[in-house]
Amino acid sequence: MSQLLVSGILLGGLYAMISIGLNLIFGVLRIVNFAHGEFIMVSMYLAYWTYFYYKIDPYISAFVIAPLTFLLFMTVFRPFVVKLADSSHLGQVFITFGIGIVLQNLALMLFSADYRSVDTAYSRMRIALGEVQFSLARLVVFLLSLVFTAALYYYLKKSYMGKTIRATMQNRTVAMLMGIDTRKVYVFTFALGAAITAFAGGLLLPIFYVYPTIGFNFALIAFIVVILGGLGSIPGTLAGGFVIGLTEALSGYFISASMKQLVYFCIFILILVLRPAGLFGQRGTEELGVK
Amino acid sequence: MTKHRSLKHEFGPIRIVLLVLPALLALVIPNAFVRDIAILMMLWSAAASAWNLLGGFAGQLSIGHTAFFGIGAYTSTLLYINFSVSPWIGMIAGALMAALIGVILGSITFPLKGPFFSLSTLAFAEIVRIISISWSDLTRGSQGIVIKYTPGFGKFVFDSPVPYILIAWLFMIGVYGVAVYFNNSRLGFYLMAYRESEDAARALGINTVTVRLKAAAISAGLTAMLGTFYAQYILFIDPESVFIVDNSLQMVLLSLVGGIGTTIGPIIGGYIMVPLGQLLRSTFGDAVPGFHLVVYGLCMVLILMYLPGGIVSLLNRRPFGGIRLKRPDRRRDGHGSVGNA
Amino acid sequence: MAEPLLKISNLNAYYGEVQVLHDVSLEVYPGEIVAIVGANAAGKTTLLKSISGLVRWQGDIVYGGRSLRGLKPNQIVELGIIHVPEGRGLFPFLTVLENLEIGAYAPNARKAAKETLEKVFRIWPRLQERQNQLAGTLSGGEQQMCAIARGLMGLPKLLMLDEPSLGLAPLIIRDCYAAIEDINKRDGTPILLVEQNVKLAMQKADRVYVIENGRIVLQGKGAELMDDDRVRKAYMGI
Repeated sequence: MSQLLVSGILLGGLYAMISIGLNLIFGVLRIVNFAHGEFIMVSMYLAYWTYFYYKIDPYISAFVIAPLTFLLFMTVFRPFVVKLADSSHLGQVFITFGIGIVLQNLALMLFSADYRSVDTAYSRMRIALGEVQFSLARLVVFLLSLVFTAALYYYLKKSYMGKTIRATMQNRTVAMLMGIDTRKVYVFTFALGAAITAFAGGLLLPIFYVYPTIGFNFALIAFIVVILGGLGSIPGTLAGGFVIGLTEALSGYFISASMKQLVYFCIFILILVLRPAGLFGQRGTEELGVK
Repeated sequence: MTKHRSLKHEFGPIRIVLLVLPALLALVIPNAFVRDIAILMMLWSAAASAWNLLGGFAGQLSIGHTAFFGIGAYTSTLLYINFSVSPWIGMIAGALMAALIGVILGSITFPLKGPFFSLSTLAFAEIVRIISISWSDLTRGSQGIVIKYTPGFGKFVFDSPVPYILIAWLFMIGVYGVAVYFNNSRLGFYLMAYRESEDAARALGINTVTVRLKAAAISAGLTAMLGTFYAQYILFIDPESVFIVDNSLQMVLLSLVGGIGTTIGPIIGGYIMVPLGQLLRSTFGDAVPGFHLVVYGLCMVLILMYLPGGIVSLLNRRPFGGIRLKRPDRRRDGHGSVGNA
Repeated sequence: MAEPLLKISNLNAYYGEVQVLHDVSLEVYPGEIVAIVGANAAGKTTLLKSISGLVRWQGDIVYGGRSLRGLKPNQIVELGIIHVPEGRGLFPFLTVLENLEIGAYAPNARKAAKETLEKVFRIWPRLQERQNQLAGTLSGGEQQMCAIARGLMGLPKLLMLDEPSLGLAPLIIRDCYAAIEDINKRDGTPILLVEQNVKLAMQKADRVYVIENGRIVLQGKGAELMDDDRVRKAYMGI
């Protein structure tokens, strides 16, 4: 039993880690990003190939891929983010869905559908504490998820930029009246979310196989976690991650994979209908940024 | 009277040509591939139009419509297989079933705003898909159901492509007709009023819930009927073909590309995207796996980024009844966009 | 007569496709309080939005000698034109303090933020008491105070207020206008305000413009207009 709990919590941290970026993009900016899973997939492949060719450990390349992603989105991809931010929600769904399709199939074309994984010095290492066993890689992700959650939480709450981001999210027009260049805010926040997601991808490589269509499952979980935890609430994402992780670990033996998906979808609808702000979201914040 | 003028517009010469084109081509060109594309084109144009009744006119942007498509397909097929009920009747049963489910779903999800509504429809469609796989006692699960090829009108199976072409065409015209009705009726007006401003519509005394539920029922029912047609045309259904999210997205995509909220938009969208997809797949599909989807995806992205009003917006500068896809409080500066990218 | 600080000439403004303002001309001189009155949807808010760069317009808006054409909203704020929107526009899930801090976003305002904040708390001690409360939970009067205070944080050279009396009880309105007049007299800040309450506008403002259906139909000194028959009949029900 305690094994299940530990597995669940570690998994929860992992799920939180892949969802934080989405919480910034969808939770804060309210941009529906259907390519979220593909962001992770691309990052995983990048980490994979740098390991394959240059033997660079994915944990190290994660620290490089993330800032690179940030820069990319602040510069080259900037017009795209702006366009996305100005589109309707449905437009965002389809534009990002289209990007997702393109990325998936590019990966398919270039790398084939083969499952790939890395075998680093520690990727198979397991730790035993009493009766409980778990993999080192998962522990790393779990710890980092705590770090990122805390860091981002304080950043949004205390820093001036954090307040600027929150203000822009609550009322874009009035934010403009404050002298805020809301486009810059959107681009910055999106870039940050993308970078964190890319970072998560690198962390996942020692744990999961990578293949072109792996994105969908991650995206599904990320959306559930974000909605469950509360859009725009960083601690909420962590909590949501734990709930889903624990649920999955505890029910793992009893329910098949597809039934698990069914349960997730049902949870999703229930939350949306009953408590759209999520577990930790501020009541009323779900209304922001939507018509 | 405006009604009269717009009806002439809806059935004007260009429209007539457009509407008749695929059926004509299919009947005249003896190529099986062309016929197949034409039939699929009409099928998906009709489906997109059916979606558009709820999504375009009412602004309730569902991305789960494949659930209704599949419900139609499975209802008629199961009734036929288990009780020998003619698929024509099964089609009506499927439509009613879908309409009912559409109303129930709508009453739960309509209060949700914007992306939350869309996401909930997606979740619902996925739930239906998973159930269709798991409840294999009822549905035969992922192995699907084969419909025996026994030609006969009552059995809705034909040995020549001509009836399929005509029926597909009748469906497309039929749904177009319903769209025209929406565009020119009080129901349609109420829906569009709701779409533009819920508060204003309520203030006018419109029961926004009832009209949307009506639209949901009609949209779902029509989509289901097309599901039945699909089943009878392909003679095989399984969850992977009738319940997947790709179908939902296809319906929306066609409407977006052609012009959401317009009567002819979804049809134009179908004329463009279906042959494009089929051609891409047949040209590149085998050679380089995935390439055709890369191109298709890119087209999707480019069209949506640079032509948010759809093709129709290119043709008229103020699309008739079209939805503005940009958020209305964004400044439209005649001197250029707000700030530089 | 000095040069006008703000000079609007032949302004046509659009909300989406619809033309809301037709050929509007108006001036604000240094140190004045100018009011714009008119019925709902007459175009008053659109006028302020044109100045702050939120809606599309044609014609000319000149501030301190330079045209505002083509400027982005954040650039206009940096010039010192501060717009306190209709309905207060507070950030509901930010605290009072955070709202005020964001009010000083522009670089020049941010440098002085600490002093401005002290000043603002001196004028409105209640805001200091409630500084850690979420702005959305304040009462109507407190919100209005907070919104004006936030406007001050931006170091306005021209302060624009959209319907400051909306939804407030008479006593609160009195306090609100006392504060507005104080800002005008003590700091010399010119104020352009939009008011639904015609009588109030005419009492408090130096000059008043009357807008109807997007056009200026009357203008003059507040006191004179109060005696004008047209105004009395149309807006004051006399």
